[in-house]
Amino acid sequence: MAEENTLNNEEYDAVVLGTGLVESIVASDIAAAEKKVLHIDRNPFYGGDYASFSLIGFIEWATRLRDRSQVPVVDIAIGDVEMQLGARKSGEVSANNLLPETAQGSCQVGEILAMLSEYLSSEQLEQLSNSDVLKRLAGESRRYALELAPKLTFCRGPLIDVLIAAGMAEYMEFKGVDANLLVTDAGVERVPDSKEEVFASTALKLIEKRKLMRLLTTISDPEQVSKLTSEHGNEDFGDLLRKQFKLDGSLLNAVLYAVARATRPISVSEGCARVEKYLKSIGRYGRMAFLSSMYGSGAEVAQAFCRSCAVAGGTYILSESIKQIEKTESGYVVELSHGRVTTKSLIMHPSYLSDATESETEVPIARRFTVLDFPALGEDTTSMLSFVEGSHVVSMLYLTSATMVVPKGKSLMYAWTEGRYSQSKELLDRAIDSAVGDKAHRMLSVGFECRALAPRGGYTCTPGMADESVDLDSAVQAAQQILDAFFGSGSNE
Amino acid sequence: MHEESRQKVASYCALNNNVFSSKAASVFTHETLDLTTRLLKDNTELHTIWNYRRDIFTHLPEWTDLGTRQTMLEGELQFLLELIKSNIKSYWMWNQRVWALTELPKPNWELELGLVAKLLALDARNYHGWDYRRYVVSMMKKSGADPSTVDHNEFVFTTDQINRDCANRSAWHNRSKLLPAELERSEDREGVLATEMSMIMNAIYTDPEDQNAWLYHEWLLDIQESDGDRNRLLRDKIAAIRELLELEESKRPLIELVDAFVALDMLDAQAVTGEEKRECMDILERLKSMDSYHRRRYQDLETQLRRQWNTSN
Repeated sequence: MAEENTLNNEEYDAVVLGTGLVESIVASDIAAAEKKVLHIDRNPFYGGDYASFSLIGFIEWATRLRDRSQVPVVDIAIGDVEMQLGARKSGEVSANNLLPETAQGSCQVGEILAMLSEYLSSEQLEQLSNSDVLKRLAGESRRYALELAPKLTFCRGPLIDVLIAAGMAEYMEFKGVDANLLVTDAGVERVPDSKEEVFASTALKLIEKRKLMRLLTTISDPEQVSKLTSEHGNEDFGDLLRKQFKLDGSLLNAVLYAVARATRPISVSEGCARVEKYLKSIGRYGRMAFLSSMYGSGAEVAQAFCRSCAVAGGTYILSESIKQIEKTESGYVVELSHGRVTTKSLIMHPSYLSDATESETEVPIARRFTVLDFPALGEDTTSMLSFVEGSHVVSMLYLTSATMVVPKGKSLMYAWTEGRYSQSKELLDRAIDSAVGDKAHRMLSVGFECRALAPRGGYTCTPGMADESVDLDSAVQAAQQILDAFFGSGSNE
Repeated sequence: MHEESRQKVASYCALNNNVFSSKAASVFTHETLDLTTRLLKDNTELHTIWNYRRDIFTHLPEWTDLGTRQTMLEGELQFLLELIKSNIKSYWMWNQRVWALTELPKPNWELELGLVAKLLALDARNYHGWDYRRYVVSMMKKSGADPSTVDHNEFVFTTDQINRDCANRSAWHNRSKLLPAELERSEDREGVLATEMSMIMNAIYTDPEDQNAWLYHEWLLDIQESDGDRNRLLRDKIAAIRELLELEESKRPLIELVDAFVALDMLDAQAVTGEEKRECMDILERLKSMDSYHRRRYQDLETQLRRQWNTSN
């Protein structure tokens, strides 16, 4: 193709490697400042750590495309057939032998079997090729949007501000998150997060209503918040809730985990800020604090930024491998499979450094999701959930056809927590079980671990993975830091 | 002033003078009607012109033809709807709407009720809206709707409104008006009262400083059938306040506690113990410093109670 040559020796103001959300925001902002941007992804898809896939696309990612240093193992269960996509099984039946037999059913089924065959025993392959569940999943493959790091958008926060300012909100579609739920032994409980909810709640005891309202009104009052933070700012937020606000049991869990999302201990200042942000988000677009974007979260938002970057003149190449990166006096020379370019700035996801290793400071995230053959928590609705067990907190999202990520009548439950997958798998399963019960409804279950890759000194790198937070604002803040450095801090506004 | 604004003012004044002189000359024509339309769009608060406009309507020759009158007044309702949206608190426009509906040969009350529900959704505590709603409901009953169904629906409507915002005074007030009939209709008087009590308690615990639920509780006392029931309601109230105060001391519950004891004492002079009386004095003392604006009020109540209860310092 002609483009192959046009790349050669082009000069750019910035080359951005990776199309995850952080990289995409950075690329879009730099292009908006009328700089020349080249934005590259080694994968054939957008979204990086936040990518979203069709069902077949997900299997393809798991078997062929994922970066094995970042995601070493993927567990997949289709109906009753379980497999682990780590090491490949050798000497088993080649998929090609099997294809003619199954192709008569559906070519999507054949495609999936071909990709999975090397991880399966011949009995499993036989079982799977006759699986009714697989046929149903494969037949509607394109109606699934399965995400590596599903997230929500705060109704008031940095991301929504950027989307509005850049006019992107006009062509993106969002739905409100209908409920914030706490998963308990008795099932799911709605978190009463506003005065109306507190008043109308039948789950709360009267005195609990008073305790909760006392907290909500205190945190809605800037004067009282500044008094709290000046007196107790560095103390533990959980302790403050227990001692000063006398919260305990599921009420404490609701505030500390479902609202403040303290998956690790947080200070009083941090806790107040988080609850305040949550409360301010309520009422902007309705009664809920969060929005969920249609067709998937981070990848959709990332693509919106890429689009606006392209409109501002940015150049895009997918499926482009990086051969070599060379530092020069005035910038970098990047050798790509389609040529060589020079750039003043180079910003990349750490996985683009050939010798990137797992971060020693960042805790990995264990993730699990399952496709259910019924709308477990209601059709046409979106919920966020928290499951608390001792000191472990699992964040969860329940999605349906409301955001077009599953076909009608199906639902999708994500669960994730900080920690090794091997040690958290059961915890995540218990969380999903407590929320939706009955395993018989699971069509597809997937589990994997995301490891953060550490940047190497001397390079400007974006975060090594999508973090465990439930919203996308941390990605915007990470992008802002990089942009501040790029433009020289302070010059941007 | 900008040239543009200057012109606007000039044309408004000309129109204003024009309409007022037509009024003085008792001109009742389509032309003058159109002039009032233009003027009222600019200034909805000219009640003289709303009055004049009604005069024009009734003096038009077509007025006597009921079909034409229906069309004209339906147009008036539409005109008012547009204007009311921009100034929901205008007495004159609500007045005009009531007039138009009264004169309308075939009024559609169901439609009006739907409209007022929409207006209340925009501004749930608007007393014009609530007042108008009561008017519409009374007209529905007059024009043949089953009164008990209409009232029950209204009662349910207040439940929805209070659930949406438990500080909606208009909704609590309307509920208080509807409750007696609701009690009469229901075969389970106790059940209805228990629901009311739980609603009050929920509101008190959600926001003890908001006075709506406290007032409603007082009112609920009034409609009890026996002093025994009143006694029980007051003891429930006292227990709730004690629980609230344990968590945090605040003004309204303290005042309500004293009030509850005073009410209890009026029902039965033996009901309030000496210790409880001393507690009341103690609370009034604290209130004087907590709420210094009403210091005198607490002082007055204290003096009165001391005399009544014969307690000394």
